[in-house]
Amino acid sequence: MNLRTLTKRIFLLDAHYPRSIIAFIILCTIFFLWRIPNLNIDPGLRSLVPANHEIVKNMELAEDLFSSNEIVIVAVESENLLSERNLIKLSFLHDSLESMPSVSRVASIYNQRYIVPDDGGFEIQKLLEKIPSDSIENQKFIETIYASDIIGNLISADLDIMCFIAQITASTDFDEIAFRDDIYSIVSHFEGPEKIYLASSIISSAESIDNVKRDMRTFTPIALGLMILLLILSFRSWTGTFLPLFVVGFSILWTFGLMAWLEISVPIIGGLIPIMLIAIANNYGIHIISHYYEFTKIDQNLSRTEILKRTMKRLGMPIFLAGITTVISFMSLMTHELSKVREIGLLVSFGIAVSFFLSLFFIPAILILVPRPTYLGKENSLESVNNFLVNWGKFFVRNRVPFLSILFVGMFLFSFGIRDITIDTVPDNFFPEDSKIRKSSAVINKTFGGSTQLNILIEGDIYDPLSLEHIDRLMSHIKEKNEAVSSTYSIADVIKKMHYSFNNGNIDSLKIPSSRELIEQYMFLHSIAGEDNDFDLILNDTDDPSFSQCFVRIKKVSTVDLMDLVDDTEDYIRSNYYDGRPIKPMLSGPAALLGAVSHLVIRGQIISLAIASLILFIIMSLVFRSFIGGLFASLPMLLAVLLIFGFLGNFGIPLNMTTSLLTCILVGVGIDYSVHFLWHLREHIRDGEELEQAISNTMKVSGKGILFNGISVVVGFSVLMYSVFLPLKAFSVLIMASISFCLIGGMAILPAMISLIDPNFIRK
Amino acid sequence: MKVKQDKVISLVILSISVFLIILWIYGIYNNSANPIVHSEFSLKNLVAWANYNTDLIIIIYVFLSLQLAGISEFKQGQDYLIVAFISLVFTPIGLLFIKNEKNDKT
Repeated sequence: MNLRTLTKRIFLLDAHYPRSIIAFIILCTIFFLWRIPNLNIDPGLRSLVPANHEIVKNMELAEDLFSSNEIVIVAVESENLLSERNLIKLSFLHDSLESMPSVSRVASIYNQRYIVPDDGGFEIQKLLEKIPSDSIENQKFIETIYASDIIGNLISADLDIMCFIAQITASTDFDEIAFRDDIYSIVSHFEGPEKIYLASSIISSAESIDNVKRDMRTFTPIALGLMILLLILSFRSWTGTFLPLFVVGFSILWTFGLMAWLEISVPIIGGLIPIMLIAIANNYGIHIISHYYEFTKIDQNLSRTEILKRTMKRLGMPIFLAGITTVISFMSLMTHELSKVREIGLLVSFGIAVSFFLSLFFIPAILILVPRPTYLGKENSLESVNNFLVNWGKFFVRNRVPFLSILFVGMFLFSFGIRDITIDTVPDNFFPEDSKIRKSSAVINKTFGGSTQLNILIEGDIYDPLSLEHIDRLMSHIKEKNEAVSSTYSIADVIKKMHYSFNNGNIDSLKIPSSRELIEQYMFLHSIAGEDNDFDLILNDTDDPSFSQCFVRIKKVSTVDLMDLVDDTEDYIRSNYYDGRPIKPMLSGPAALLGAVSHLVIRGQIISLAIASLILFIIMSLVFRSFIGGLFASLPMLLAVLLIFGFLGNFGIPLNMTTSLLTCILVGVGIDYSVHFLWHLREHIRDGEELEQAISNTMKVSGKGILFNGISVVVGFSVLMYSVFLPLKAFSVLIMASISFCLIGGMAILPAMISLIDPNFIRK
Repeated sequence: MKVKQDKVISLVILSISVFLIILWIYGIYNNSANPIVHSEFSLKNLVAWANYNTDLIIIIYVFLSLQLAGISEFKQGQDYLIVAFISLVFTPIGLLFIKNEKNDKT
């Protein structure tokens, strides 16, 4: 059974059982709706990375061995920070933070201890034994602060800002939003006149999620409203406005319903599914309506069934091709290394397939049952649009040489921007520079060396002097080679400090002792003078540790710096500890995760784009039975991809997970426009029309569908430009630019190039 | 014959759909974890809900107005752009005052 026979059978089914088809689609929608209330949202970054990724496994191991993997820094600024009143007040803040369920430990001046050289040994002293009540005690306390190592770590050099470092256990089911709300609630009790700053990747993630939710709720109805208005103005009928939108709505519900039935949680980038379906899936419906109206205009006396029969006959193949190529472009995401992006690719493919089938069944079923729009019966209806499209086509055909010359030269120059593309997956950078989050981060980065940390898990015989020597070397290498690193902390630092103090502060003894027994003695002494949980974060067992955790604090959080840090550390580990001896270092923590995600984003982007382009080129070559045909069909899409990457670079819009999914929309939409244009152009030429006339007629029917679809999406998404959340703003600009480039590709480049080259494949 | 068969099949499917919707609402209502079940129904709560969900109310109003304008387009043979405007500005009641211009040929 060939495709034409199949299209005919679909039409017969539509014509004979329209009510049953509509009822069946409603039943299916209820089936998918059933589980949607059970849909889970998973906003965490970790869920994006495959569970078997080395860093995720290391993070799980670190969670099992130690009590923390993320930090939240709460900084308090006051002119009289160390006054009795403030110290009492802030001690309650310390206690409140420590009482939070997901906080394993809080480090602050209230519980900090330091090693003091003692006669023939060392002592572990509390930094703040009691809150100073007079100026003498206060002066003594200030001297103690300067004598300890906490300046720039827990308190600023000018003693105006102090910080509380809360260690968090962020397991896979950690609720970032609930945590953010809890800590904001605690902090609000202590704010004023002191200023309080909060910084953490957890809080940034929670704020991102809230911003996305709020902006989506505000702007999506406005975007849809604008799209509806555009469609009403374009088609001036209920069928032209709502049938394509119903198809999109059903496909969105079915897609989320499928996620609920398969118990797939919605990741943060899952919010893009409706956007992608709105941008792509209403295409099929708009083309059916556009053709249906045009055939109605040509012969008003034909019955609805007859017009629909002609429409389906004309559109069956191009819609099938447009659907299958778009599905393939999204299925190419299956090669992506980020598991959630793979899931999104599969689900959007499902959504597009649904909208394709609904366009073939639901829209014709409704069109059979309802009268044709009254507006079509009027003289000159849609005449102005038709004239515009015909003149548009003629303009580009007449001026093809100057147009194509300017275009290609412009594109060549524009594409230089690709070199300047940056990558940004850091949640802090999603907010404007004057936002509270960015301001807090700036204060904390400047005063305390950042709120993001890279954790390094070390496996080995930790108390072996050689192991400690290597831990110390690894930390020194990281600090020396990476400007972004503000400080490092490991068990080697503690041992060195104890050895130094034990030798009465002799600077030559600030090193790892060569005797294992001595190291064990130091640890024993520390255990007597200190507290039980002093080494909870860095040793899995104080008697005979086999794992240790080291911390690298990062002051400058940019994705490039993080990627460089992760790459450099991995290279160092690979070249020095390839056999896991004497230590086996493993990267872990949020910084490592961000670095890994960034790598996966770029690699996945390039691979999936290349695969999609290649497959689509092969399909188009087969469909038009010509290599040149494949090239023509793929060219507008490839030029649009080039333009969008040039756009990213020239306008300084960074590449992140959302922008990386954009190329799929671009490929899907771009190929749809090309298929419709080229297929209908070939049909017109087969009908015996001259090339120029065929281009005009193609513009009139297919061009209308392309224009109405493109303009409605562009205008609809323009409202997201008013979002304060930078990724959404960037996404709306990119969607508009992508669809505009595809429109130029389908409605200007193709007519100009076809008329210039007059390729054979359109006459086959 | 096929029209009759079509009507019967669609009626059966729609009946199943309605049954499922009732079952669904019943399930939601009986779910003790659902906050709707616990909230007391009063005018004050309704106003508070409406105040919080103004956007939702506007969306529902616009959607219903445009659907009713669609019915007016089919039943009364009106230009959809005009009836959509009347329905949105003067509420769908405004559609009742429009003259029927239905052309049987369409």
